Amino acid sequence: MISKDILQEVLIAALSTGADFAEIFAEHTDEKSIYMIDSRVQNISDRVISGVGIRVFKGCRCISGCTTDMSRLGLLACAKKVADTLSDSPTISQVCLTERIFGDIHPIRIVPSSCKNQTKIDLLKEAYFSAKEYHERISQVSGVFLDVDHKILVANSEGLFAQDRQIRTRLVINAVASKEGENQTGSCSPGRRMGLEMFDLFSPKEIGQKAAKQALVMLDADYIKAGTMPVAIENGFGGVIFHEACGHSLEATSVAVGSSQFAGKLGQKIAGEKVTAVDDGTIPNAWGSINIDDEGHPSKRNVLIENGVLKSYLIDKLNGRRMNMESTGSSRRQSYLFEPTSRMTNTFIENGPDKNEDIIRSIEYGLYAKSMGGGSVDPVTGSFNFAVTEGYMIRNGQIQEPVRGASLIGTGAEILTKIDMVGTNLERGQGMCGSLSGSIPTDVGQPLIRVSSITVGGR
Amino acid sequence: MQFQEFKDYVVTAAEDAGLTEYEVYYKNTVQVNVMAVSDQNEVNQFSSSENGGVCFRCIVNKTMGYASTECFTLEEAKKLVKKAMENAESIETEDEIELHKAEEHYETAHKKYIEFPQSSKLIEKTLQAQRKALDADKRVTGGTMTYSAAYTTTEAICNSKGLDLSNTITVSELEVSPVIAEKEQMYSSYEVKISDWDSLDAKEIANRAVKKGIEKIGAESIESGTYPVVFSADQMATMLGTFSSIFSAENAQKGLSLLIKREGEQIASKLVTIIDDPFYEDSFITCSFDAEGAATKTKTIIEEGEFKTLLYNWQTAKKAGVKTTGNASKASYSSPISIMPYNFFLSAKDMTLEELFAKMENGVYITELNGLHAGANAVTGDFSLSAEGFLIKDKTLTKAVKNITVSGNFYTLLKEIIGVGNKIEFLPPRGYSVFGSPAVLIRELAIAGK
Repeated sequence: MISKDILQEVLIAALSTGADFAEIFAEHTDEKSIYMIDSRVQNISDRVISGVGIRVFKGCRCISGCTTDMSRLGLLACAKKVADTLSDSPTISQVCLTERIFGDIHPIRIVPSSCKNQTKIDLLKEAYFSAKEYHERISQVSGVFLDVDHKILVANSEGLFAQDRQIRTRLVINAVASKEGENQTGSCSPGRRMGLEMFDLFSPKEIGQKAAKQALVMLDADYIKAGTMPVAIENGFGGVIFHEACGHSLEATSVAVGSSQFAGKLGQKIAGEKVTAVDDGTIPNAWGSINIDDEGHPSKRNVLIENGVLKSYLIDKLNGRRMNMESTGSSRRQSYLFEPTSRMTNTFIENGPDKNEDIIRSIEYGLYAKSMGGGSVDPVTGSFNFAVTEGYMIRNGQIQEPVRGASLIGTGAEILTKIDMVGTNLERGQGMCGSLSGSIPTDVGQPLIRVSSITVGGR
Repeated sequence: MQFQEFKDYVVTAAEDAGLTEYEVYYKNTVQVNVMAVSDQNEVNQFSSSENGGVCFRCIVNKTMGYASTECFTLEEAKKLVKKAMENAESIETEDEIELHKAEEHYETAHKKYIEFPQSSKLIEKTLQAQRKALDADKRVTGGTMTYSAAYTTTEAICNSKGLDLSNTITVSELEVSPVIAEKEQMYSSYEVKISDWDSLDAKEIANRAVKKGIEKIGAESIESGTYPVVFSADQMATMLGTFSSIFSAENAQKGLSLLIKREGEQIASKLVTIIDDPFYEDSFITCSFDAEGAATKTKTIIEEGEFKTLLYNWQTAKKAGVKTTGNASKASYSSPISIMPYNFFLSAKDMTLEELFAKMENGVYITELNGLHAGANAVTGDFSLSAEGFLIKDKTLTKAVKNITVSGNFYTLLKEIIGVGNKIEFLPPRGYSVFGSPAVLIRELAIAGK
């Protein structure tokens, strides 16, 4: 993308006013999206994202700038602007970059950009029409085929020079079921750090059917009655509970300034002892996986909680300075426009000791949250919320009628201690996680778990 | 390479490819962000950025193809045109597509002239706000953060029919987010204000933010049940923003809104009047043309409860046999044309907050809603949202409330509004959209708590 000589020259320029660290992040990303609605291909668009972000540190201060002008002069002008803002003391530095190749553990068999639009349209249509034709009450379906080819380069004044190419594919189907002036929705949206071979794992037909089925089930459901009750949360995207209730509060962004509910709690028991939770960016071809993070460090498997005890935070370089701790390979950014910070990759609760049927059987009156929507959290208070997109009542240990309009709320510290049963069917689900450094692909995951008591919002 | 030069390359490439109908759309944002955490004497993060992109779209055999880029080179200009042409080939929509000439008349958008603040001024006031927040109360902790931003966005459209328009907006904002600790419990709050930089009052914003946080101390959940609810002005504006897509003709025509062919019906309480005004006087967002180059205009969406019109772009208007309302929009430079409002607000009436509480007698005053992206569904109108606020007892504000959810349906909520406040508050802009509302009293909503 940019020659080593120019990178070195730009880093030296960035350091010229007294910074103790400088970094260049360059990217060239090709994105394609194909959108269907009303049973037709309505839009196809290609997008090129291309630019450079330059950061300098002086102690715990960070100054950054970015530009789309990737010429030598453009980069030097950007570096000078950043250096001028710092304007500490004139410094002459040496930078000698040593290229590192970490290897790609995410093989891609069919690179999407090398396929014709029609190949992708055929896959999209198969999923689309399997949803549309699932039932006469399916009144509308929209579908998106997305593929991203994200090439990044990181170089810093410590001599690091690394590159990565991240290819992702995703298929999203949203179905609407209608009756008597009322709508309900269902969706299914698997994604992988893969090419088109992803569809060897997921048949497009099943993706469409799953979305349609969910909308239909919810159309016949009544609103859940609000209250506090035990909840069994299913695997896959159900793991959003850990992501929101705990994961964000373990990011150095909030730990470093002491505003996280889990700051200063390393080594302490913060969760039920059946809970072991991991953030692992090294799972081959997983949606949230990376070879290197956006600071050029190799991704790692970080055990966050082991048998209920807090073991690690997720740390980026700048916050590592503030915390006096090493980076965990967790620095991520949506694009060159955002400053990177500590973020999750693939985060999940490991399988536990309980049989899934025992978990359901143990609940006299409660909610079975089969499918979850997104959520959010305030890392300071730990207050989180998330939406149940497909839920059923449990009575006397049996799953009963579907219910709609449920949301779950609580605080992370409290809910973690209330996870008292952990099943054995670990699976991950895909999401886009939004935070300070933009929107990034992450996996959430867990087996079926039981939360002994949680506030369920409804009517 | 600058936009003008790149545009010339793209136009040449388009003409060379034999295209006769095409458009070049450009958006560029220059932005400075400053963040101060804990430390009162220096900012922790400072960033300046300039980024822009071009979206090219063209009509080939009656279908439209799109391609976008941030990479302004001669080679990329040719690729851009080629990709857009390829993409057009696979489009199947039967909607009639055309690009448009400039209209004869565009209303003049009043311009609140805002100077882009110097970096040193941004830093100075950000630190001042951070210091004021930390000094405002001894329970304010180092986790407190102040964030400021200033940005200028330029948008330009030109097409093969001679359309050539551009618009620039400048906005600056200051946001203080205190973290308050008392008895091992932490509380967070925030206050954000949009204005020209010089008139932002650091002390006032910091004090209001801290006050909001302090008021939360001791907050508890309440019993589940149905309660009358007052939404604060900013939270009602948030609701309006979240559900604004139900007024999009595109969503209505595709069955993603329940408002298709409902014009003339009473869909809301008589107290509800909703207006979309691209020229709203106190707003920093004004625009005389939309993302397709159509002239924008002010219109009443709901008048005293009666539904008057959806928001249209050219294509949906053509389908419905009406004139466009000038609401074509692009979420980012690379997005396809969709529909968004401008300054979109519920009109104020005459009740003060105290009068709303008095009319409610007993109920809940909601001052914070969370998780709207997940807990609110604009297709169904359903919402079930995490909330905070205060309990109103015998017409008076009593204890703080947290860990509750408020649930209902937006279509029903519009009919259940029985009191409207006298002071509109506007949220920070989302693209060209700014949502505003006064506080409102809702007859009843379901609340989940203990």
